[in-house]
Amino acid sequence: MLIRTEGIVLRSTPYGEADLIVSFITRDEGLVQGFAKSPRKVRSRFGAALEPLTCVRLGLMGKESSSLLRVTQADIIESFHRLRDDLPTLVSLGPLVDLVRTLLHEREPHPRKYELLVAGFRAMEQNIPSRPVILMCLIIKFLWMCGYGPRVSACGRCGAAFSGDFAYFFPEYGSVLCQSCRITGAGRALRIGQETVRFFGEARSRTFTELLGYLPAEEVLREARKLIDGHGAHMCGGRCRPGLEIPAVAASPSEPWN
Amino acid sequence: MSLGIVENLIAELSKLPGIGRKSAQRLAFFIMTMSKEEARGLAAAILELKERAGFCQQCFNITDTELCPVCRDPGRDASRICVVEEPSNLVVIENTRSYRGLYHVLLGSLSPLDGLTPERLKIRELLERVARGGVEEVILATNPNTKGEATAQYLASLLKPMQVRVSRIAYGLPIGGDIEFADEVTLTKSLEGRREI
Ligand SMILES: [Zn+2]
Ligand SMILES: [Zn+2]
Repeated sequence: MLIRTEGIVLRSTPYGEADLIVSFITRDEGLVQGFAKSPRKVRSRFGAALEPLTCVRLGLMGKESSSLLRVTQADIIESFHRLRDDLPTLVSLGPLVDLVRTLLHEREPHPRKYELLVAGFRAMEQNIPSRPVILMCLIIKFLWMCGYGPRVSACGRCGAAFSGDFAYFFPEYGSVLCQSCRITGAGRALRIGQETVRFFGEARSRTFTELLGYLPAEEVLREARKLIDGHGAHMCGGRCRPGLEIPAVAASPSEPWN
Repeated sequence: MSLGIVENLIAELSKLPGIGRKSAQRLAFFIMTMSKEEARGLAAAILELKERAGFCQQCFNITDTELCPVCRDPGRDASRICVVEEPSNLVVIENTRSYRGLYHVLLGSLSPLDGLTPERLKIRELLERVARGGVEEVILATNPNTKGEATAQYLASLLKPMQVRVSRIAYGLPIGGDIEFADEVTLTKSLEGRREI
């Protein structure tokens, strides 16, 4: 059976002498594991098509039930090499890739989620200063699309709308809880301010084009990052790494590994 | 005769990179036709490698002495260090005979999508070598893929403040190829890395 679809390379793992096992998120087949023969050879016909984050037109061969398909064709639609070329950006995309691999299923169509990722990568590539914000909004949108969005505007138990200066988010509930619903044993809470509550709303409702040039305050980004980290870590049952923080790559030469 | 011992050898051989079951079978049957001395020689060579070979104290190339032959050679240009991911990369660069400097083998590459874990690699040892002085240029010859490029960028950010010239091997089209068949990323990179002639 030959499948034709398009997809984004999530991860490439060397296999044998010059082969690769590649995991893709595809438009029509969801997560797919592909086996590509010899792409690591210098003159491989695959060229740069199987590098992580590349959006490719794919030909896949294999039995309907097979979990490993053979990659017969991979032509670059958008290389997204500017995202790969910048080390801090690349590192910051790791948790998103983990989320995609954890929350989606194999061989199930996910056209909307796929389109969302492509649009998000496009926006990140276009606008360098907005990259961290776009990435965070992309993660928030993706979580909502998967049914795991963090609920911050109303109490997750009684539905009371957010009021006051601060809301308290409980990762174990995936939601904020109002004062009367905060029972003991609800776990550790993260305090977020009004502005951060609004940021989550904007992240969901605005398009990427509208988000370009949108720069919330540092404090808002810090709170939002903490919340997504806590929420993501809880949702994935520890399978996702926290760490949306973009690392500082340049370190002092004497102690670079600290 | 029980075929168990043949099966056993086939299973062991198919653990090698690039060796599938069919190739392993072919090798196993070939080994059966070898003389006892030849077979013993092969087995002994494998064991000797495991028992005696280690990493060069300076550059982490594979060697059976404290310093590898490259590091011991007084004719090599010690002001240049070429950084590679694996000892096998060093071998192919040596085969070109166009490089007379020293090497530094990282024993791996960074995997940026899994978070930065530079402590796995021989990076501290490289920085110590450069800090000792006498090095004018560090050539980053990690693989031209996402991991290799990330590793090169990371190293460059650490090396540049150390007053040493840092260069990256060129990206480009394979010789004998045709531009028509190049992918857009390779072609973009080779345009960016063009040089005057
Ligand atoms: Zn409530
Ligand atoms: Zn050496």
